[in-house]
Amino acid sequence: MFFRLIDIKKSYQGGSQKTLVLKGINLDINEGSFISFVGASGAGKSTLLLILAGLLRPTSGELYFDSKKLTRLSDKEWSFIRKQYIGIIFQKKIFIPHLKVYENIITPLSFITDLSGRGFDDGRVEDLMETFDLKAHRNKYPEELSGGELQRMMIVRSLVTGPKILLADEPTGDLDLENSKEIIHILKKINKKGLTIVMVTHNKELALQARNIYRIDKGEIAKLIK
Amino acid sequence: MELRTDKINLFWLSRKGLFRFKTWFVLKVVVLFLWGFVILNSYSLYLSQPRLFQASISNKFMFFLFLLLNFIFFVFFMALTILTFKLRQVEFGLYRCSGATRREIITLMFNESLMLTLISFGLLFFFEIIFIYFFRLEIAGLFKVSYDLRFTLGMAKNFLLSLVLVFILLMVCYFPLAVYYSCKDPYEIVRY
Repeated sequence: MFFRLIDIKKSYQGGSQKTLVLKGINLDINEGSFISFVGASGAGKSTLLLILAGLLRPTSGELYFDSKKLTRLSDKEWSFIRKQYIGIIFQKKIFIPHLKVYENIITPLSFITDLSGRGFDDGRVEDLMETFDLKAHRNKYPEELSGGELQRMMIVRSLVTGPKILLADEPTGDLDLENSKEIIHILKKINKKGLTIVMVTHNKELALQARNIYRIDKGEIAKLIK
Repeated sequence: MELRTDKINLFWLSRKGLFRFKTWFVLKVVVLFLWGFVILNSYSLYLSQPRLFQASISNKFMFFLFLLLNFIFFVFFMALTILTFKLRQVEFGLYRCSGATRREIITLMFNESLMLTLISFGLLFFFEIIFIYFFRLEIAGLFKVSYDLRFTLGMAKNFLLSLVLVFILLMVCYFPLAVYYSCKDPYEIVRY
């Protein structure tokens, strides 16, 4: 067991009305697994992902990671966990336009190492860029890249700190079919190397590529599809 | 599970962040420079020649002009600061999602503002010294005193003192802004 969620509930207060988004999620995420959550918009998929990333606090329930209880950690402690163990891929193409591809990739390292030239494993960055076919683009600006290349850059950026779990929110977002297939191929490849992946998508075809698929409906895990 | 507590290299990030938005950076330096020129010279005039300062201020037009200029520069400068923070929200959200703590983001923003103000005021002080040197006779004439080195040094000292006071005031203004922008939900920023 890697991540354990016990009766996770999340509600939002909108004026006098309280909306229950997650109605008691119980789930174990094992190390090395590849899980996808599918469901309609507003089903609670992204809320669950945010809770796993520590960017949102559950209203009640317990969350464990490697037997450590995370539910009552401070913002600082959660930040350390994100720094070291969690990589996030966003749906939107998020990058810093004034930095080159290489600089964009190493940005997350600024928070854990000294970028004065020592203190972080440049070999690892180079290896990742090689694996994801980005070496030729290292001195380009993100705007010069295609959609697929940009997504690959974002994946490398999320892997550069050596996370244990990758949280992907609609990782193929607005990509065309060919680029979507490429991204899924990459995700499967890195999962085979032992990285745990939790993906949220509304695309069933994409979800089918994962080893376990859960359908989330109205804030509950309705079904284990695979 | 071991938690690493290495510190972020704030200087590197500040330096990169500061020069990333070159246009905004130059605009802010110019506004800060001009504003500083108005307020600091007025204050150093008050310190050097309080009677002359009071005489100028007692003139309604001068007093109104002084207030208006200060108000325009202050509003313009704060608007530029807010706009730059807003433009960089996605970047800060990205840093937060990558593991930066709120405190690290506040420190980053604060450090950048600190550097910007130091650069602007450094330039201002440099030009002020040149200004005093070239117009020493005219300034001495304005103050109706005879010119000597002590006069120039006294002007420079008063100007530096005013600079420090305004610098503290600006830092006090920056801090709540940095706290406000660092507390925004990072994921909401990068998602929508």
